[in-house]
Amino acid sequence: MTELVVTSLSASYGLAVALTDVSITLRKGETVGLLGRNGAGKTTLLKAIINSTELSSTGEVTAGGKSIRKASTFKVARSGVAWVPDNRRIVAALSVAENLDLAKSKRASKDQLDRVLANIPLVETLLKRRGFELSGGEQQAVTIARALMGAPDFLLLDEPTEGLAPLIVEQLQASIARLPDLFDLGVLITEQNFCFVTELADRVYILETGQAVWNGTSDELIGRPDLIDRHLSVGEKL
Amino acid sequence: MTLLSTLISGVAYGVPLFLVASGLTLIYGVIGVLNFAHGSFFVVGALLVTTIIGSTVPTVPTFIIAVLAGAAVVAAVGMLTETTVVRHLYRRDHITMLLATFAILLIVEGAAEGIWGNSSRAINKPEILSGSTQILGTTIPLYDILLVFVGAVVAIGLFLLINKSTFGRSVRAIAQDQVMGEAVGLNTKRVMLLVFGLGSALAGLAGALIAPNVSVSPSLGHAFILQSFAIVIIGGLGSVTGSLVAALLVGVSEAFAVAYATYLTGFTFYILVAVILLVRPRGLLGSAKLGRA
Repeated sequence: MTELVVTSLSASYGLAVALTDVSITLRKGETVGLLGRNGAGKTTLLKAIINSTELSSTGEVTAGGKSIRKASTFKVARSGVAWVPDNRRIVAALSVAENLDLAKSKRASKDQLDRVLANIPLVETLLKRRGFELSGGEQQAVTIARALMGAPDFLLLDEPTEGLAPLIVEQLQASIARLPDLFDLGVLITEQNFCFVTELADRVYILETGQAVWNGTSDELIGRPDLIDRHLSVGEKL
Repeated sequence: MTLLSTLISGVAYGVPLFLVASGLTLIYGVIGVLNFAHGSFFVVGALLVTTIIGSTVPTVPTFIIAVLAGAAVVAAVGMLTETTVVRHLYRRDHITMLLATFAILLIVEGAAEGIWGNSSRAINKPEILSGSTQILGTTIPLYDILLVFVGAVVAIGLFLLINKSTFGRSVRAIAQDQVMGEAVGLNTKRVMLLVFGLGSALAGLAGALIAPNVSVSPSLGHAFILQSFAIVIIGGLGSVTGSLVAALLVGVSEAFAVAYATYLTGFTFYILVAVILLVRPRGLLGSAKLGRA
């Protein structure tokens, strides 16, 4: 089975250590959630997986059995690991069609655009509009569609609900839930939104101060209020 | 001089400035580097053409080959510079980059002096381009018409390259966000290398084209690079179209000053820079990053 395997991954921004000895796995066809408070290392973990030049890292990352730890970020993308960053980063000066075209890959079949548009129909209505004309929800749909254009095996979504209205979050959740089956890929989501993740994810990892402190199924986590109190909420302090 | 001949003379004067400035602004818009060495690349293009043509009166094909060879060699020099020096400084501050490109300027100028010496060189135009023609009763030098034609071809070519090609799409994406560009599978290092090479080639092309009209020496670039930086400021940092408009504005203003207000000769571009900085500090079409060219 094709897996994204992260083994003993540590990462730092200069002298500041942000991730320590984290190991996770993501299989094609499943959705895995990463939960944790602000600064727990969720975004850093995704950046370390794609080998962002912002940080230095040690450990091992393999996709489909091949090491991608030392590959440039663009080679990681071409090997089938797509990243959708938290602030979306759509190219404002380009049209939506041009944004999608940027991520076209040799991995993808010729009808990949049709597949993407058929499954994220909102994007088809936006093709001629420029990035700066889109709302937050539209931008999020476009960045997910753009990531899918490369026919990835694994999709890394960094806080996809950030700054979105509740109604759009519901629609986004339904859309993400369909992705593993429709595109035969694994989805790794980082989120602050507990319900969003536990409703979508088959399995969940909790990160705290750069370490993976717990993992299990969403149902197991929901049944463990002590874990939620200890690692995810601010208890009675608020 | 008639109005028409002044206008064409101004446009022809503006074309080499546009070529140098568009290279500067393209490199800044995509890579964020204000390349001080650009003026020395311009000179190398001019000096190479003087070597290839020598004291002969070249045929048109020989002249075209010499000009293209000058641009190509300068593109290679630019790409070598990007690979060996500039690439390693992308994450440093602007001052470090300015100092590094200034050092490259001194090294290239020193090397040019070592190879070609300090004396001025002049070359002939192809015979067919040495004369003039009559347009609407006005005498226009044929070489000026060639410069206007080349400027138009380069301007249209750059517009199509940046706005209509896959490469241009990658360039505009990387100009906005390199990290995102990498994340969607774009080889940003290669794109930036090619942009640096293209910008340098434009400087080399400008030097090669202007060589028959001036005395070529290793210090030729000083005046030109100053005016080119002024054009980048007037047009707006990062805007190729802005550079075109600004170069034409500077060229035509200077030509009209020469024809009708000689006391302003040499000062028109200073006046334009001052006015633009007062009225529109980001330049005519500037956005500080390459969006729509």
